[in-house]
Amino acid sequence: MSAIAKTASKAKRRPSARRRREVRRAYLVLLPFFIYIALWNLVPLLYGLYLGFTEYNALGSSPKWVGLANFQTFFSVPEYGALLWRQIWMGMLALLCNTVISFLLALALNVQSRVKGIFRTAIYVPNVSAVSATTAVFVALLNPLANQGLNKIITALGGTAVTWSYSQFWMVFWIVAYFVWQRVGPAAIIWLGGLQGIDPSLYEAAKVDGASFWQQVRYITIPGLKFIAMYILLTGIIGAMQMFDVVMFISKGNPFGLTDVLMYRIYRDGFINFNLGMAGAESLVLGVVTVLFALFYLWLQRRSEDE
Amino acid sequence: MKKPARAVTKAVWLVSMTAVSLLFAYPFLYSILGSLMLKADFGNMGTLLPIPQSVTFKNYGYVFSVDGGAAPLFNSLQRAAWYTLWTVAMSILCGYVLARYEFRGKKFFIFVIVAAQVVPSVLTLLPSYILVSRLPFLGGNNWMGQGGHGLINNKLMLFLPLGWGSLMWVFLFTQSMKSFPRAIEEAAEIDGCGFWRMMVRILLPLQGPIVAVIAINTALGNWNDWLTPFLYINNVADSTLTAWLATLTSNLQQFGDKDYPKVFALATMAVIPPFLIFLFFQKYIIQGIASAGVKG
Amino acid sequence: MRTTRKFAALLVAMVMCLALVACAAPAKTPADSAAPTGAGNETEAPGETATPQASGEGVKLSVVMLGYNDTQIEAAKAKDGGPVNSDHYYMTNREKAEAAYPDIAFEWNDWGWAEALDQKQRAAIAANTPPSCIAGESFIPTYANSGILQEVPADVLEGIDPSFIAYGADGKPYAIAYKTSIFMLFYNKDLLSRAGLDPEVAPTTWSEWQRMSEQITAAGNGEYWGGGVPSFPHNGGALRATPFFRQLGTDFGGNDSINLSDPKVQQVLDYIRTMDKNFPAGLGNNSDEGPMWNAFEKKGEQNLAFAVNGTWQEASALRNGVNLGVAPLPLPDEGGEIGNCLVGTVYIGVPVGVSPEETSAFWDFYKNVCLSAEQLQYWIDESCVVPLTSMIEDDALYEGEGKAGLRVAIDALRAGTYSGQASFAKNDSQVWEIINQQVLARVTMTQDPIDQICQQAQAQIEPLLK
Repeated sequence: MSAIAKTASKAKRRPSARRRREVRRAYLVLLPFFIYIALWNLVPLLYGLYLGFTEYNALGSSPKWVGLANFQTFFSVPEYGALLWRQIWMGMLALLCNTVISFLLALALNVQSRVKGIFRTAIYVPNVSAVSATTAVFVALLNPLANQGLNKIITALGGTAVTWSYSQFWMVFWIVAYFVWQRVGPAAIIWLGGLQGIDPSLYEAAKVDGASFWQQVRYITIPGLKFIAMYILLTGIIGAMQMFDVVMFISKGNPFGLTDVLMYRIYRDGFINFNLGMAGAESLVLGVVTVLFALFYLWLQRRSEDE
Repeated sequence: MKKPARAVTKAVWLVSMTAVSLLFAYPFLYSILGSLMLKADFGNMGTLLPIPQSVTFKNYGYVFSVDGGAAPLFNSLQRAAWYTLWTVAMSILCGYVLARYEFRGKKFFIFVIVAAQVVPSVLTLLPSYILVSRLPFLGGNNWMGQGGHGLINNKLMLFLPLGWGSLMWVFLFTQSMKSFPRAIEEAAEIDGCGFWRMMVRILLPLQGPIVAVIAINTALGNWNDWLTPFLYINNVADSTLTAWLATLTSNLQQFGDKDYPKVFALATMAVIPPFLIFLFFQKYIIQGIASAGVKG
Repeated sequence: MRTTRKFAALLVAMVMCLALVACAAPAKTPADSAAPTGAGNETEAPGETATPQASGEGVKLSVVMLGYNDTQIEAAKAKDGGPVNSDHYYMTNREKAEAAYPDIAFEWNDWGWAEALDQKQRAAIAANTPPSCIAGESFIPTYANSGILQEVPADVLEGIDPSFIAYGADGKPYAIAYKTSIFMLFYNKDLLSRAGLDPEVAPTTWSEWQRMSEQITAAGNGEYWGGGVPSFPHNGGALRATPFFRQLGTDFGGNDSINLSDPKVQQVLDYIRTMDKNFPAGLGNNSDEGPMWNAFEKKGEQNLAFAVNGTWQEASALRNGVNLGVAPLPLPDEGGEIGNCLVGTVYIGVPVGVSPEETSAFWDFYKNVCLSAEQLQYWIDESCVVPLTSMIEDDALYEGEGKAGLRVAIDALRAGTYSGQASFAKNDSQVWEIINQQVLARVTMTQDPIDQICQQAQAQIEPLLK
């Protein structure tokens, strides 16, 4: 009798003791980690919010509160708006090209072949290489002089040399080309995963109905991949809105600032000119715009899921 | 009638994919061939690729010399190894706890992880730099964080995890635990296996594939992250290979002495380790991409 | 309980690991002296740490600009024909300093020049780890006015020509230059002859220069070119345009004003645009100056007839065997006056935050080694003007072959008419960036109306100066 009661009470207590231990352990593991992350991220986030309202040159002084002055400068100098707009359209152009080209590559790789692996490697390797380690080649090739780099090959083939550095079109072209070259790999793999996830019987049925390859793509593949496209675009937006490394290494914002983007300006104001207050204000504007874009896409995704 | 058509399609596919692959490989071939030249010879050729008249390994001597790339190369390796360790440990610990235990605030932790993915890093770029330079008691700073330089130019900055990048891997591990049979853990517990032993002896090997995904992607990401060392560390000896390359590459378009072959040699060296990792572990890298895709 | 302890142990281990790295980094042990010395970076000469400290207290000087590090010495020795005079200056500075001050541990930093140097120095000062001295040209006034430089002691200033001293807005001296130069027009007599021009007659007016340059470009037909006024999208562009502005009695502005709406400014810009057609495309406004100087003087190239450069061009062009002519810059056809701009000035100052012992040790080294007549002779041989009053007054130094440009410069300096590039009170580097990229480079890269270019830049710069 008492033995039974004992076991019963033990059985009752045991899970709760175990749970208590688990809860304690969970906090022990999670809290230090999350507090550490918060310390290095939440504090800078808040400090950044303050920084945008100050004037600060980091040369031994302390930030001086100037209210909205930096934002007034931002919105009164036309260049800043142009930089923000260029960040958006250049980023989106690069992202769009990447999405489309990666889709085409995924279609081409979605076949049975023994050599497929080699092609996949060739397309993916640029992505595992550092931006700083691969842009020097582009700088060497894009020498504006007629007897240097790519121009030497063009003239040898009988073409006319292109003064790359004069042309916004060509500089944007090469920035986008580099962007795609570097980032097309993962996007193609994601597309490929999606393509292989589509029910093959749909294609069989379409073939029976006599649909052409492109009709199959149009009516089966693309609708089946809407979700994946959303994902690629959403994860790409935050990166594209903060793209400046490619610009810094390849064009330096030239010709005469026509490929300059806001993120590059932030980097220069912050780490070269030490105009930290202004850079803080620019960061806030760019950050808010980026979050808005991301939320807009999230909202679109929600809506399309509901449908 | 149908068979030759398929053969033609196949041939067209092979040829065009080969062309695309060569296009993708071209910058690498260019930099490898360029690295085998002397400065004076580079730039005078009118060929598609810089074919060296006489092959020299002088530039690679520089990459491995004490005065050249040896220290940054070693720092790069150390940094990638340390971050891999840190991220894997944190992902397993936090990921397991979040997946298996029930406790108050769990939803909050998961919310933080998801929300962090939407916060653009531009918001913390500058403030982090200022705060690092104002850390109290370090680098000559007083308790107010004034008077010194904090951890700027300190090699420690190579190893201090700043961002929230590791949170994504925590989430990935949590997700992967959903398909991990509880029976294994229960059996281990009955055998008297404690929490730490379970982490190391059971989860690490049995969750091997997902751990490999985390480890390899972290190693690659940190090897290729040039920005953090580039911003925080001024001295090449304390910096990493990719950060040094960032300085060299951005100097290519400024006044001054330009040694393209030397830059190419360093760049080739910076690409070889990730390339080898990709060759041997591409399964895991691709799985990482795919699982991240499914998550979204 | 066990969990807690183990977790604590793990944390402690991690913290200790990081602490070890943190402490190991600044204190370099000999074993750790795997200090690479790539281009543009700090270096530590081997064996320096082993210097016996007889006096008991060893001062460490971290020197920017004034001496070569091992990599630079190696590069200078590898040059065709060996090191040149400027290399010798930096190499012997180091040798003499290390011999004369055995108690001081010297660190020789190569931080580059112009924008790259500015960035490195600002980063070091902002991080509160200033080197023992800082160097620079156009940005030194900004440094002086930002309060980051120490005043130069009076005894160091003795015997120095005032043109070589950088004064702050408060009138106090903050830096001393060890050399400077002014702009000249250099020309290749062979190319003039080939185009059917008299090689002994240099252009004296803008239109004459334009006519000659166009004739050479036409005769060259893609083989060689006449050349014009460079419009580099960095400070090298603004520096070379400044003397032409000053010929018309105007300038880009300065302090808190910007002067791009001035019709005279636009007149010069129009001339720069016209003359740019005498460069091969992409040369006059290249982000790298190197190709232009190569085109003028490098053996095997020498396909550019005219170059606007500092007097030092004379020594290096003669070394490369150019059949060289030197003339003052051409003047506007009407209403012009001689105007010029100091260029290649290297000011040296000591930043705030350097300890008093280090400061006095540095000035001692700078005055007695770098500014000694013996060392400065290297710069005279490199066709540059040097700061010692005794040397400026010594006519014997400026006679003979290859001193034509230097003679003009020294006469100008004795007359005391020239000054450096203008500087702005606020956002100096950002303002110059706009002028260089969006005014000068844009004028030669596009055919956009010049008044529109100026108007847009003016609108952008004005709020930055407020």
